[in-house]
Amino acid sequence: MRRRDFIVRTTLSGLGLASGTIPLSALEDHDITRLTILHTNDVHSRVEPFPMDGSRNEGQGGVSRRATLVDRIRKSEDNVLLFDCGDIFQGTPYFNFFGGELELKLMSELKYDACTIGNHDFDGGIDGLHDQMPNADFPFLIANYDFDNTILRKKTQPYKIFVRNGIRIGVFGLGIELSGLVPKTLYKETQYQDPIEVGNRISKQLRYDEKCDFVICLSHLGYKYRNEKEKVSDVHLAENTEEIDMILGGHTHTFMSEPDIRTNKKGEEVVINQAGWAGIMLGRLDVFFEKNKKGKCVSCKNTYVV
Amino acid sequence: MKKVVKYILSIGLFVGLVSCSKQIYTADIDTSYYRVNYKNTTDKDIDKMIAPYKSQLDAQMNDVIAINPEEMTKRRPSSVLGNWFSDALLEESSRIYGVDIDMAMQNYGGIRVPALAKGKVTVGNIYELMPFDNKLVILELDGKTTKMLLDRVAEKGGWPVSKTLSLDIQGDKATNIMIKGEPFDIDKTYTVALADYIANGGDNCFFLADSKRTDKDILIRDIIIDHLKSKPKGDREIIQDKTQRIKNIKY
Repeated sequence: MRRRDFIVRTTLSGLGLASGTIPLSALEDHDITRLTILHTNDVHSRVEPFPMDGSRNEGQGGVSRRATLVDRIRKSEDNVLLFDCGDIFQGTPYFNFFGGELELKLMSELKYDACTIGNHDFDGGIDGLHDQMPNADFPFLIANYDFDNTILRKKTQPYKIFVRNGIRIGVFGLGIELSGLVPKTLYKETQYQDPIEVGNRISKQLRYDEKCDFVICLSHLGYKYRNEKEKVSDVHLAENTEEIDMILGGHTHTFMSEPDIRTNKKGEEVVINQAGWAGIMLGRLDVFFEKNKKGKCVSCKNTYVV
Repeated sequence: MKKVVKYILSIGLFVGLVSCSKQIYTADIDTSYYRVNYKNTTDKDIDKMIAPYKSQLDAQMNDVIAINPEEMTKRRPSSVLGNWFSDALLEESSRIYGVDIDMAMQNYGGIRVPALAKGKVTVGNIYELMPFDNKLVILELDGKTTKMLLDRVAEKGGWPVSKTLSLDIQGDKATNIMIKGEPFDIDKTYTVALADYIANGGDNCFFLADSKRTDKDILIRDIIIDHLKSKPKGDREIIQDKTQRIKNIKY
């Protein structure tokens, strides 16, 4: 409740209401839009929950339970976006036997809005990924893999713009370097391009040419690498670009207890978040947008829903 | 003509002003993390979609092929799960290839579960432990390349290795290397059983790509499943070895 008060108060002063020049209708909720972003990463074919066998993650995860959770959130929020940050495939026999078909069909049923591509999504070969794509009702966003000389040519897109309550949200995807990580026989002629360079270019394009109010990167670069500090990661991406507002990550299977807030090249804040792996966790970020009033802070209140 | 230009200009200015006045800012961001577990109810439609796939899998995956007396975890630099896995690879590779293998290893990331639980071990468990369609190959490496590989193992913080190999990690190098009870000899040639993924240069082992290789096109997962199944039915308890084969040495 306090948050609502805060926003109403700042909106009030921001609109110069104190002087009584603005009609009261301007105070109503339409000046503040709440965008609810839900995200998963590295689900790794975890269709069913982990089995009840005494192992560490027993009983956790499961698409069916995620579906009811997402459904509940969608019923209470107006503007929900659901993303996945790659490594949808590989990890349970569902992938070995059915090649990722069920994973993508289920994500379509859950109405995912977009995903990016992880290294393990090539585990059935680029042809396998191609063959499964028709099972997805959502786009695969990837800006730094050049598929021109592969079967995936024109099957993916670098970004997609979502418009919610008049707010333009630009979402693009970045993938990890495949060489040395994935056998070339699987990714074939896919050309990897520098994520920082591409990230900068695409985010500027989204901000200035596409007039996006908020720019989100779906990344499979990994959060950060303690032993390989030079290796490009979400932290590098945040600090070396100018127009990314939020990075939803994957690859490192990082369970975050709060988002990492970094400063970009322009001195502005970038939010990095990741939601563990295997669908054990669903990440949620509620972004409050205000018209005409620049927010003072990007404070992050962390709620744990057990 | 001029009037029209003026008109267009003023419209442009007007649109510009309007879009300016509708500037949108981010005021605040809240974060929550949901745990997806038994407290969430299931969705009947989703369950229906999963059911036909699940029944096909269950028929094959629920076969119990071993008994694990105690939970085995995967850890760096050395672990009981890694020991068991690479010893099974060593034993089976010697049998399959009919030659004496000096050592077997598995890249750390290749074992995809943090632990193998106590109790019944099913075919499904082995699929989750080794989901990749990696094949077991034998490499014949000269001393220099062997050292590069073992340094890579050290740099990565330790991989599962068979009982025929032990080493210390000093910084990011392998030292005090013992192979089959003998100190490592740079002038010798060694046979190593490992995943084709690594032999092809995976995990940045580019230096292995041109090594002499024997490949019988057998999946590591099938090798492990057959290893467990080949034991007589009454004698399928996993034997654990808790030896620290790789140690971190401070210097």
